[in-house]
Amino acid sequence: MKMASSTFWKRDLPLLLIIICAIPMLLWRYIDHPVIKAIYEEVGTWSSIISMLGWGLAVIYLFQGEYANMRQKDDMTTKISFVVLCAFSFLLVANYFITGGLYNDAYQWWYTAFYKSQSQAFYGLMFLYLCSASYRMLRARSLESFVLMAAGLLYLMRSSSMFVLWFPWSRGVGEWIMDYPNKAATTAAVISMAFGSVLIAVRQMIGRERTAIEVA
Amino acid sequence: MGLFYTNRIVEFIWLVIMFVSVWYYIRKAMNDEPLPKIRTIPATLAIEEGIGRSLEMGKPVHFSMGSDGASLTGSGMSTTIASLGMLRFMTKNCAMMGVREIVHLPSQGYAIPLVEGAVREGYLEAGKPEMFRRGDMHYYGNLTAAFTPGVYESFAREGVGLFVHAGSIITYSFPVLEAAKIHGAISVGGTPRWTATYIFAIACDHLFIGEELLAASAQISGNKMLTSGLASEELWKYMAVGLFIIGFLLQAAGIDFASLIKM
Repeated sequence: MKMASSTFWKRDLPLLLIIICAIPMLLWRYIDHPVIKAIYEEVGTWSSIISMLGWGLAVIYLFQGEYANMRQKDDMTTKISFVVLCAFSFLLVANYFITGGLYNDAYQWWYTAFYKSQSQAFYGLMFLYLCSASYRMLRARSLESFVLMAAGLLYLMRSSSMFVLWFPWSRGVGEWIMDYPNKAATTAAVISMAFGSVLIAVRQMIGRERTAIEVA
Repeated sequence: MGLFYTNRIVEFIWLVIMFVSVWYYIRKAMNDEPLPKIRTIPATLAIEEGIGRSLEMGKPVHFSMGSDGASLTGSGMSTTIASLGMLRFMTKNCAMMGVREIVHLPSQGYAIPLVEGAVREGYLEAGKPEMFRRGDMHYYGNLTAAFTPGVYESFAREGVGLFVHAGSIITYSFPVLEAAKIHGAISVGGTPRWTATYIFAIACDHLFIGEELLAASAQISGNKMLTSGLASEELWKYMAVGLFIIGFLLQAAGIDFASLIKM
């Protein structure tokens, strides 16, 4: 009995709700009727409400997860992490209620000094990972990849004011690379991509390479 | 007249044909009739290999659907369901081998219970529900600027033997996959989104191309309904290409096919 009840709440009822909501949503596309339009709009509103409730759930989950993490690991770093999360959340909420909004000096200071700085730091970190990936991809294993890497380096030099100051010739060389070899290579790449895409699509269609299903 | 939009009749007929094909394959699945066979996807085998490797190295396995990769609307929904199937399979394998699994949750709050449910079910299927730990479900909020460094930090602090990154991922997959590589992980990933596949092709050791992610999920779950959905999707694919070729030929012959299908 308990199992049947559990199946009803977890499977049957959601399926029923989906069917009830989905049919008017589909019919709205094809039938011009005020009742269907009204149902469509109502379902849309409820969808937004559920989505907002989802965000509320996410905030609760964030705190629960951090707390569980702290209990699980029992080390100083996770404790500090949890304390920082709580402290900043408290500051944010207190600031909102005391000053009546977020457009004040205290919040702006918090935003600029903490949030924006750490965001910039992390984007910088991401840039390092991108550099590492680019290096791995463009390692000069052949003459072609060496030429590509050298061209990229010269163009980077042209884009940096420091290099332009030290090596004024780098601007002209960078511009030439951008205007001629780069444009030619881009056009060639687009043509190759077009051919390649058609080829891959055909291979997929005839099941030669990537089609997931093979007829038994 | 006036009840039907006159410029959507062909579209409606197309929809009905799709429904019929789905219904046909669902009936086949329900009657236990043979369905089209799905070939083994190499990246799926790599996941099992990676879990074994993590066990040998004593490092955890990480899973992510991306910072915003759990869409439950539009075309992203099928990918989300496929990724959840993948997660469940991974969790079950990790539990059976005794490997710790860390899940980096997507930003969408409404998807959290689904992800947690998939993990719990995976542990339950392996007969080890006690292995579930809330502290291994990492949530970072709605900002990529928080998600990406959070994942880095987790790799650096906990270690990583295998990183599976699969879903309707849009941005910032590349640095995360690179971080996994730097920390010595095998990376397996993919998305059915054609425009983002190149990121995975560059950065992953093993790749799900296009619909392979959906197929792999159907195969490892053993769910006949998912396989029936894939079979009908395969049919639509051929129909769409057929329509394209017919349209191309008719237009070339001077017949206004574009107006015809806009009826």
